[in-house]
Amino acid sequence: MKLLEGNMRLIHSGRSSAGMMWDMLLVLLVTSVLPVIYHGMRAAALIGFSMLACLLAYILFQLVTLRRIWITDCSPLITGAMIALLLPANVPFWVVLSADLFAIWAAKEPFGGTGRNPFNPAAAGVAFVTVLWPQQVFSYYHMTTGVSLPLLWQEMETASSPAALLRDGIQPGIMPFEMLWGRFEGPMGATAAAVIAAGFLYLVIRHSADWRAPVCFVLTAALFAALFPRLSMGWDISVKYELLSGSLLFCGCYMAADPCTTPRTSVGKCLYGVLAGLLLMLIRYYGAYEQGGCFAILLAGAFSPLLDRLVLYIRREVAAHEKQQQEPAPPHP
Amino acid sequence: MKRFFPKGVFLSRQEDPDGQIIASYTPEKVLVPLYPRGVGMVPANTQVKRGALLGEEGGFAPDAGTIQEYREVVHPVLGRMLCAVLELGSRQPPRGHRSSKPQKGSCTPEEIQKTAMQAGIIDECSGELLWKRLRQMWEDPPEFIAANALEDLPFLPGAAFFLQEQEKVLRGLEYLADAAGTGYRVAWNSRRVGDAINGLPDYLSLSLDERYPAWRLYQNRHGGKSMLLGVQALAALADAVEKGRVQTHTVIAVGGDALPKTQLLRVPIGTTVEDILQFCGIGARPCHVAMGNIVSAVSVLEPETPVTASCQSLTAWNPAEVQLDDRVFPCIGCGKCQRTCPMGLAPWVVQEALGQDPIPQNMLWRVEECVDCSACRAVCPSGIDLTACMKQARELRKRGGLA
Repeated sequence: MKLLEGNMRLIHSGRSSAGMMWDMLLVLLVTSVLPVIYHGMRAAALIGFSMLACLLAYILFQLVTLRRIWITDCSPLITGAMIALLLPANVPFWVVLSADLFAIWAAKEPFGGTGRNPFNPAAAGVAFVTVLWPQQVFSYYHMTTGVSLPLLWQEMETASSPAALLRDGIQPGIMPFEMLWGRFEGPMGATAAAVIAAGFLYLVIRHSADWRAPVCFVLTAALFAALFPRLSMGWDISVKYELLSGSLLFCGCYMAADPCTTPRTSVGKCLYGVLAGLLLMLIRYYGAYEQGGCFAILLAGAFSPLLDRLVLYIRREVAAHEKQQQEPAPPHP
Repeated sequence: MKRFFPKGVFLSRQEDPDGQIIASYTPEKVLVPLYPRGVGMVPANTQVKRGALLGEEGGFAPDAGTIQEYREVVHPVLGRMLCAVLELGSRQPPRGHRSSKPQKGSCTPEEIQKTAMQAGIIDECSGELLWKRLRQMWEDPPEFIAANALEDLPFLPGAAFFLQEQEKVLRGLEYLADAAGTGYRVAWNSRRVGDAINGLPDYLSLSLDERYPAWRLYQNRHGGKSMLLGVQALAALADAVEKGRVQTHTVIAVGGDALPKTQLLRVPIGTTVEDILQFCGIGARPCHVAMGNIVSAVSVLEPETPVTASCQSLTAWNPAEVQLDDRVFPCIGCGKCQRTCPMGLAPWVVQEALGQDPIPQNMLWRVEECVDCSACRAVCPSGIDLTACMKQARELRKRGGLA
């Protein structure tokens, strides 16, 4: 009998970090099924290409910086899938590639890789290409014409997305059922509300994601839409179209659930959700772009360490105050 | 609110030692630890009887045998200590110098404390000598004393021991409570103990949460003063009071995936880890062996490490299982450690603070309140050793590096 020395964590409850990431990847792959059905092989090619590009960029970075490559770390694949799903199905491949490279080489790995990145890499990548090439990112081909997308780029007839119509104060003419299953113009993975909600539910049930930030995010956005409707039809119609159009639900359910870039404290997570939801609606209402989910996530991410510090500071102060009250006052000399 | 967002962690108890306690095993050789230090030892090559005192301050022969030598051993939990190497001969029946039940109300605190000291009883819950805990108890009397039949962790022998030795444990409790003038109860949180307790008077039952650390969570919720004592220590106390016997044996749970099954063994104190694992069928394979409470278990590296009364479990693991967790991710910031901590601390803040230079002292807020339950380490998805972080932070505070 030989006794070995080793890392003795013999029991753990719940999920491991790697397991949580594989869950996230699984949910993203399920979310990719509908886009592939709607847009054909081009959607599959885009998602696969994006994931591969992120993985290669990660491996290259690790090789250049002489760091170890972890096989269990599937976060580059998650970033790749998220980027592809947040872009339209007719986006050129080079736009996707630019977003991938920016995400991995600028937003993630220089900060120390998984767990140490201050900003959501996928949001950073998409925001980067949105600023540089808004024409490509916001042009959606006309889905109802019935043409199938070619595998490679070619000029297509484009249509306005519901998010763009909302900005102009026009009610989008889409049936509610189609809105739920995402059969309309928009970022290819972000339109199927039913699938995204189911994916989020799966993550919460599996304890792979915390529900606080996403729920606060979506509730804030809904409240904002109800209080200040851009459509004249009433608050309920406004909430329905604001929530279901564009990348709001995708960013809220998947990106705000990312533990690295959101606050650690429960109250902090709620505050983060409220802040991100508010920022998103403000960007939609007053910004230059029709949707700003990624920008809202990035901006709120910048505040997340601060929110944590704030929560901890308040807790410390409250505890100190309570202690002071409990202790009897010192006797007068 | 607290009911919906409970503190603590639910740890699966699939590997519960469900079977009977196996008492048939006797090793050929034991290393009896001499507490607290070895003075006035019996000379080597002497024949000793069962229950004989080997050193002036403690250490009893679990069976008749010959003392071969005295050896210094580095114990993973207790540190450096002197042990008597005893070759056991024929089995003798346990003996004591009296055999009568004391009358109710006849036990005084001093007598009980003296009996516990003479019998060398160790409270397996805290790892302290029982008489020292009793001294604390007389100074600051608790509202009630509780026997620990909890099963909030896998590989705990307490519940099974209580089921088998129920009457003895209750008698021990009764003597103590009688002397201290307090109430007594049995703390439990598993169905099998609950079923057994149903037949007893209602005031005895103290049903706790299934989440770990159950006792700490109970104390947080109800406040008040109460004292938790190990069931084995209580049974040993009953034996000592009634029959004048000393504590020479202990029940441990032996398991882990390197062994064919989980078993409960009653072994003499001082049995070596190697002997126990060989008896349980470890074979010649290399494995990781851990001793003590499973969430904060320490690695055993020396096969000739003796088992003490405070050691509740011994687990052996295949290298593959342990290596899997070898990749330690950085903190991904899920905040589970904070939500789990029974004291409401934020281990992730401490872990972050320790990585900075100079260490920001306000981030080490309240670390001295840490009760060392390791629940944070058990839930951390990245496998960070938060227990070690908290310990380091506590020591930093103690050394006076505080602002």
